[in-house]
Amino acid sequence: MSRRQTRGEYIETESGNRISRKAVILGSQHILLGGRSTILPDCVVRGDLHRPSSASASGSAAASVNIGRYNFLEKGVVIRPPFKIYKGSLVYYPQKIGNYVSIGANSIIEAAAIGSYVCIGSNCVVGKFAILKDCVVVLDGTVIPPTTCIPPFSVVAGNPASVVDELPESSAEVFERRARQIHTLHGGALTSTSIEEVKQSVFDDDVDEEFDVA
Amino acid sequence: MMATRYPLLRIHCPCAEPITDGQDNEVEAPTTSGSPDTGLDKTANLELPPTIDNPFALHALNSLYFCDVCLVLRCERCVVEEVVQTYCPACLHVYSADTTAAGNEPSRVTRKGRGDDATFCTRNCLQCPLCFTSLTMFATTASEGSEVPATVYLQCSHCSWDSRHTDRSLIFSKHSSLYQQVRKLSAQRAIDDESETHDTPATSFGALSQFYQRLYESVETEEAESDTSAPPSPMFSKRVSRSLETIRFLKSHYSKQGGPLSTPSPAITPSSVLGVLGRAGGVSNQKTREHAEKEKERCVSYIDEEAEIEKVSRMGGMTSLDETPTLSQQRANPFVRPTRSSDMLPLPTRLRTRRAKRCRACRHILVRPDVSSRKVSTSSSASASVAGSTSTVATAFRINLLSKNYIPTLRLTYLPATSPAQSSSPYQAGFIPHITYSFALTLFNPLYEPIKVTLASPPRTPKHGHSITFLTPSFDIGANIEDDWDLQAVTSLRRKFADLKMSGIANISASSESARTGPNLGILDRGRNWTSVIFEIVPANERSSEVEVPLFVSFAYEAEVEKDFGSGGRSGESADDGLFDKEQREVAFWSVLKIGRVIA
Repeated sequence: MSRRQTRGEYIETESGNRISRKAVILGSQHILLGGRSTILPDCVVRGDLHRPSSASASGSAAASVNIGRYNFLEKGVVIRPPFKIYKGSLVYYPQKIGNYVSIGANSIIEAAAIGSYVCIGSNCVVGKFAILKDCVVVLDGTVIPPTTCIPPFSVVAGNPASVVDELPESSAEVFERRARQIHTLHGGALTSTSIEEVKQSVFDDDVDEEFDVA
Repeated sequence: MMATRYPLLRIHCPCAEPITDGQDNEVEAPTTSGSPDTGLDKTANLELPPTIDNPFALHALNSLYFCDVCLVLRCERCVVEEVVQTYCPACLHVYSADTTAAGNEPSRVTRKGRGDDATFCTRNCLQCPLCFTSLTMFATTASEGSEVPATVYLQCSHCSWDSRHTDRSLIFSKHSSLYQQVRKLSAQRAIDDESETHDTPATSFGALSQFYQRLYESVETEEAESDTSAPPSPMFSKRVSRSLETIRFLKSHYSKQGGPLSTPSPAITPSSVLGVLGRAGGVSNQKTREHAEKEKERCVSYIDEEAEIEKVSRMGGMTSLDETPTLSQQRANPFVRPTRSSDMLPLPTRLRTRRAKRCRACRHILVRPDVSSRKVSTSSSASASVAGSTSTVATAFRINLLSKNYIPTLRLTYLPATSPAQSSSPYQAGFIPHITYSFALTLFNPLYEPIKVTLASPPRTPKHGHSITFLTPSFDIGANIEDDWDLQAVTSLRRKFADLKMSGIANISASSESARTGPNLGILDRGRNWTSVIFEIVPANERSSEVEVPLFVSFAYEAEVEKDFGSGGRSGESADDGLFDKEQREVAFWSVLKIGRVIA
């Protein structure tokens, strides 16, 4: 528990993003982070998988991975842009993730677009070109097939994913508040070990935070 | 099932209770003159609502609405829903939208299409019959020179179901309105499979409506006859009168729907049903009995033996259970009744709705989605699968009266005592009987007016008899000024309570002498729009009983309401006050705090 060791564990950018030094960030010139997002260790963000034309035409301007504000990527999350074969060659398409999105441990995200206020559980697979609209909860272990569209205010679960519940209208506010709290608390307690503890502490003392989905 | 996470707050909605005068008061008291009295009465008597233990009467704060006319909380069950928009969940195309303005008039939804067309997506959104994933459309390019034209087939991206590999190799000639093509196919198949007993939605509906029409008429004539003759057995008459009610309702219902008529299946006729009814009721009617016998014979001959044999032989050739559809797959295909998985057709996609919610008592709108905004969907041009949808659904709301913006939110913090047995948090570790546990209950005021809060709870919990003590039943909370109250307060609180945990509650209350004396007794701390009060629990010696505290919260504030300029010259006199009048308001509700379990 030496302090010097723990201080350097995360890189903090000007806009308040915290990126673990143990995270694998490839092609960082193609990754846009909106600010105050957190990337935990062992995450993989594949910014290097971009459209070949964008590199030659407009240089680093075109982002292949666009991540918004107040997002929280837990351990081992893989973010990789979707690809398909277009006119005989393999083409990667840009990927966009909105604001206040939390992604659980070891989930693989190949979606084309994820809206804001989305909560993805752990060990999920979000297939290529899937679209998650705003206010969506993906329960743990869900497999969302490629090119699926999840409508707003849905709770999805299962393999393949199916809509199992509807979210109340307050979800956007709740998710926003949660994301902000996680960010502030994480900032204070950004030590090496127990991320889970930090996450749990957000909810433990808050009786008003209870938010049932299951 | 996940274990309950403590602590937990549930707010009680009285809508499940039998209607009493209290309920009526709530309904009739939008002018708030009556509500403070009821609140005070409840505090004085502190009568627990009878449904406080019912799980369906307890709601999370986030799923509740607040009617600012009735000044009561509204749960999911005491709101009226009305459809504002229907859209396809797969392509997000909006099928119908409410055209009325934001006013309080009932919504008028313009629907395109009738019947099936109003419930299913009529574009190319089809679902896999095996796994219900939305299917992807592929086109085979017409190779020049060959006689094969360009065709379209469907593939499931999850289970790799392929429309070309089904029983009849589904290949579509054009890539638009696949829904119509599949519907035509399924109707055709139904006729092919069972020439006599075809059971498509349209025909069966027509048969039903015609059947009930005739039943209704024949019953009416019978009724007229029986009036003159001797009264039938009481049992029979009761039954007939009840079924008559049903039939009348159905008739009016069907005549409104106006489904397509076709010949009813020959097995059942109105008179045959009446015959059965009559026999059951003990009325011997020679004519109806004869008729029933005849009908029975026809029922037997109605079974197509050859088709059944063919079905059996087909199933005999199956090698695994996977070749038969599962129950859920069969249920999705009710009119085709496939016996083999490869028989199943792609399914249409059901539309989803966005709904406005109104207070059941005063019809005031609580939630209204904003359908007018043509918000550009978050998906970029990369999403080829949804490209081309002209109007997509937005998630914004025009009106959203959420309860957490109108009632104080509660936060519970454990204050550990100095004794080592209580050092760990009792939420997970559990409570030890006969030891006093102290908690800080922090109330945040989301309103822009200062409020006066009164807390009340029974001295002992009704179920298990844990004793509860609130040191400060009544206190004030300042107004909420800034929007980010939440976070600042929470962080400062958290720091404070972290200190508390270090030093123990005894030291703190000793140091802040004001908490012990004077009007601030029991108030741990207060901020701009929050106040923390101490309450104590002594758990009873009842093994593994849940520690839950019924808590009555009532708060009063002076609200500024817009003056009614319509009512004469009152406005001129009080010009200095501006446009607003002061009005005393009081809101009260029951809640249940679930804190943990007793360990023995």
